[in-house]
Amino acid sequence: MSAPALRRLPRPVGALARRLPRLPASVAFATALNLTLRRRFPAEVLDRLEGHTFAIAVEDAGVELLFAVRGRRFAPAARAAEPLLRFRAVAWDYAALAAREADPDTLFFNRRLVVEGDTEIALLVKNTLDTIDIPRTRGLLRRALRALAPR
Amino acid sequence: MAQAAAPEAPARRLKLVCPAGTPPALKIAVDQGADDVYLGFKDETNARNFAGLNFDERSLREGIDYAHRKGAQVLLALNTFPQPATWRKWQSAVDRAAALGVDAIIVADTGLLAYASRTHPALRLHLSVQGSATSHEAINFHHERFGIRRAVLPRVLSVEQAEKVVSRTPVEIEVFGFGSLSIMVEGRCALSSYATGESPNTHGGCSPARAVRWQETPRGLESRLGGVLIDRFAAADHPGYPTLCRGRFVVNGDTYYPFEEPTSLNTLELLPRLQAMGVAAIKIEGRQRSPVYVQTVTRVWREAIDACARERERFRVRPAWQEALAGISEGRQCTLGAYHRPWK
Repeated sequence: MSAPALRRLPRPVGALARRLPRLPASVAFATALNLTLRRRFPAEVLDRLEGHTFAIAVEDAGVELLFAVRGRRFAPAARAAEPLLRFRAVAWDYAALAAREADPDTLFFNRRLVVEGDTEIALLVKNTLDTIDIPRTRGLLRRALRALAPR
Repeated sequence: MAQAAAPEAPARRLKLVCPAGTPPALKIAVDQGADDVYLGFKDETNARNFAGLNFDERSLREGIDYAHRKGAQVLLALNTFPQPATWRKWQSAVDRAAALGVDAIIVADTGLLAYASRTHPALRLHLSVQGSATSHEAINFHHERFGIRRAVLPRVLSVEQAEKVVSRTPVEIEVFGFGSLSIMVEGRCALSSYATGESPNTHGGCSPARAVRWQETPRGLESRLGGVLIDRFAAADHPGYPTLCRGRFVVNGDTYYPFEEPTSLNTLELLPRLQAMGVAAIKIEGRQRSPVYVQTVTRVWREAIDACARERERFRVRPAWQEALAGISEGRQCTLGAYHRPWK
């Protein structure tokens, strides 16, 4: 049985990412979430996430993006106490998930997506993301993945 | 001149019934060629009652419109069991389903079947797998009493047994073709209530997420349900859904799966036989899965069913289909489940 082949960032890219300051990356990520997802997240879901911190660990970049939900908006967070949820995966798999090229349960069964923390909130987030149709953004991501895929 | 072979009568095409937990999954299933899509309301009236999943009235109305424009039908699962104190919730779900114009409801509880057939005689009724009707007598009783038009066979029958049922009932028979397997005392399982206080038949889920904990420990990744250790996975192991029936436990000093190993049902190779015996529809499990899963599984099964209708006995399962299905399956192995019992 097989999930798609595991693709890690080239080592120099990972090394460079490790040296970048953390906060600007989290600010950029929270801004991207506000632009693409915030208005598509039902208010009752944002209310369930309100006040909590979440971590997206990009393992091959050695980067952890931290954000919180405050006033129904995504905001960058500083290194905090244990986040309510932490996701761990490589950059390519995150992009494939966002592009709807990979199935989250399959990545989970194959230990490529690790989820730590509150399972109910994790399921709520996963299912909410599954209800969101952003065909243009996903189309762009898919094209980018095809262009970058090693031949 | 050589006589041309008489054209074979076209085989009745098996219907493909696909899961939809979200509107994008519904659209993808329809676009990939599902004949029927099944789904549920956002509450415990269906057996995939998970946070963020399922349809409210608005998304259901839009989903029905989308499916009907493309020639597909929408089946609503009301496949859990009302309790005396909660009866009205299930009754109102039947009324809402009828008002919204779903093409059929999939029901397990006899009280609810009686209510639906009495109150909405035009609403098509399917007997859910949770109804646990494994014999033609049981299915025909539901047909005579409530007018059910289709029954979903529990995943406990061999192919030979399923064939007998099909030949002795006027009711359309739907069988499971693909997806995760659980312990399969369908409609009667209360195992999870020992760990969580809830059973799938009353609350709509056997591993309610609030009771599930995944934790990395020095000994491996542990999954717990209501505090009960379900399994511990070494780095090379592949975790499955954290249900008691797929747990690995210590029994008399041995550690193994006393109920069932985590596996997926895959009956592609049985398609010619299922078609020849007159099965009406093939069901795909997985309303809790993502649109990517629904897309893959619907595409493969659409191609396979169409190929089977064309090729009949010459039908062969394509390796590319198996590879695509293996890539999205739970567990490391696929099985024919109860369909194949060489010891019988």
